[in-house]
Amino acid sequence: MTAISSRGWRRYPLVERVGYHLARVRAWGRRATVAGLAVRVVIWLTGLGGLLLALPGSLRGPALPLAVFLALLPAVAPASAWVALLELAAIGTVALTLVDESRQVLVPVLLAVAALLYAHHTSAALGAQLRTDTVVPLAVFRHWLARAGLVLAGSALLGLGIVVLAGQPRAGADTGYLALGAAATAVAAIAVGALVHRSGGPAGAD
Amino acid sequence: MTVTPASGRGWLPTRALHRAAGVGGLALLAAAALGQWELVLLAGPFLLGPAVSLAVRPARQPEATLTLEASTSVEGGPVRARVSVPADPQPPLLCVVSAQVPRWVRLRYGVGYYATLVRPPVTTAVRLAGTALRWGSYRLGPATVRSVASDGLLVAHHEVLPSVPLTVYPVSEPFDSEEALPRASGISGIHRSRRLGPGGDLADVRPFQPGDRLRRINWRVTRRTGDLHVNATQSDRDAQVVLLLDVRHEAGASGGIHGRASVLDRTVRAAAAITEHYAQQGDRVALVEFGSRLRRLPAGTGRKHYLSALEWLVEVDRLPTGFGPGGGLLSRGLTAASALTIVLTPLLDQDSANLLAMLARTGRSLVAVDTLPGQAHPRVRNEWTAAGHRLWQLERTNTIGRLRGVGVPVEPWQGAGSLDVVLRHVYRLAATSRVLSR
Repeated sequence: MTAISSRGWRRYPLVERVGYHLARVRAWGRRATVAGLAVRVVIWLTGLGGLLLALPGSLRGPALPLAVFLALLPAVAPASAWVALLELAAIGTVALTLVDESRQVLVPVLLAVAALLYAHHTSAALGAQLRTDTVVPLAVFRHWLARAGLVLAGSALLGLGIVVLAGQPRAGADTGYLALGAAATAVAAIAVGALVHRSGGPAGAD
Repeated sequence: MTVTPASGRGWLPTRALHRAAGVGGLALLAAAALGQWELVLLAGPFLLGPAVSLAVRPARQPEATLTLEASTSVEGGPVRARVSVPADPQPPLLCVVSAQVPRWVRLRYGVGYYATLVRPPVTTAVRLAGTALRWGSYRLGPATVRSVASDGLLVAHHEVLPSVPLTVYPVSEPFDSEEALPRASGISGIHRSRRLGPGGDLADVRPFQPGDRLRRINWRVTRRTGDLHVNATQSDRDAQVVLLLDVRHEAGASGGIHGRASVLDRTVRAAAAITEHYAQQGDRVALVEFGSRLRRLPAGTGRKHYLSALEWLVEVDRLPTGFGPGGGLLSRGLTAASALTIVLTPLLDQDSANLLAMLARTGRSLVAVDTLPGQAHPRVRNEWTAAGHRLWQLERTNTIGRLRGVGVPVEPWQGAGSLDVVLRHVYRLAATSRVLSR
């Protein structure tokens, strides 16, 4: 199959162009594996679920088509910035809903959003390393699932503890809390950086 | 064959790590800024996950090896390779292998991309299992191994494993000729010679002469005639067969072992079958290729020679600007005068017909095997193609008829016993010419 380059685009009739792309899609369909596609489907479903759950109940219906489209972008390109954008959009939506005193967000819903967004993140991390035509054994998925489950369980316990210790949410920002939050973020960033660059640094080291 | 590459380098953070840190940190900041500590629930997994994964990061990336279980196979036979990743005492790794596979090797699973989980203490192997579809000399690989650690947060540099050679022998199409060769000339073999000598077949009963062995005395005739008589037998001789491979032109599409056959396919498979038949029955078989180069496999016999011929055949290649058939074949002594010469040719140009006519004029025992597949047709098609193709076919049929007229039997290759009729014809022709020469 001869590739139709962007320069020679106009030289080919529409029918030939459509046929060319159909042939490419068919070839991709023949090559794709169930496991490779399953990872992309999981990315799409978790992204869609996270976005919809983050929205207030009254907005879920109208926002569904947009959410479906937005969730498709990270599924198609799991190594792109669309993954982070979708997760930030979901977290931002939850934050706005929490700030709005007329709406109430239940903790189980927050836990579900957290679980879906983390599953979205980790499945995108896996999808970024696998082509859709990669043969993947079940052991990979089992290991990935078990680790994600442990992380979610641990972080849920930790988060619930922090929420209980911090007491009831306050309306508006507080300088002390802001400083505490900034310090916690800095500590987390330093910890992650230290873990990455320990033992003489990751890149170039044996 | 095993190839071990040089040691890999270190680990690089992926976009997933940056994303986890960014999303988690922003969620934490938002929680503090807005005073909504429930947002910590969202930030938690993004910060705890990388922390857990990076805490048990492997010290170095594993060194993989690409191994071919058998460097030779046969058309339709299995091809098995493996990429082995040693299990050092380190946390589990995800290894993604991408291997370049020759066009004529069909993998059983996937298209060359495989993922595997490397977990100590067992060495993990990614198996590349497939089927060789066409004869030839290939290289399997190179393969690229990418190690992913800490659940997709760190990735190692690509490790490139050099390719390994793979030889696929042509399958021998069944060929079983029962016809004797016209000019048996060796000192041992299975063909009956016209010359009398020690052998199995009774030729005559003659009076005893000094030097005759006692066990050859025919007691029944001796008793009846009263004089000593002995059995005279025909000696068993071997013969030399020279296969001339005309591979200057390729026609027809090759579909592998289960598909259509091109000129090269038919030539190589027929040569393999004829060589197997004659070499294993004790005759000496030599092969000469004229195409991209003038190559020759000296005459030999037996199974070892057959295997050498297979090795020689997989190197057959086509190049139209190579050596053409001509007098060089005779002047270089590539075809012995006493040998049965079998020319495998598609008869696509006049040079091939001229070669056959020239060999026939020298009095050699000659058989031409037509290797042009029936499905071969011109690539470019327009309104004149059908008429032009028909004209060309008529001209080719005419050439074949003229060759038959000068005593060159031309027979299309059809596998089992397809040359028997022609060999019988050649045998009688040789006998007649000998009688006439007396």
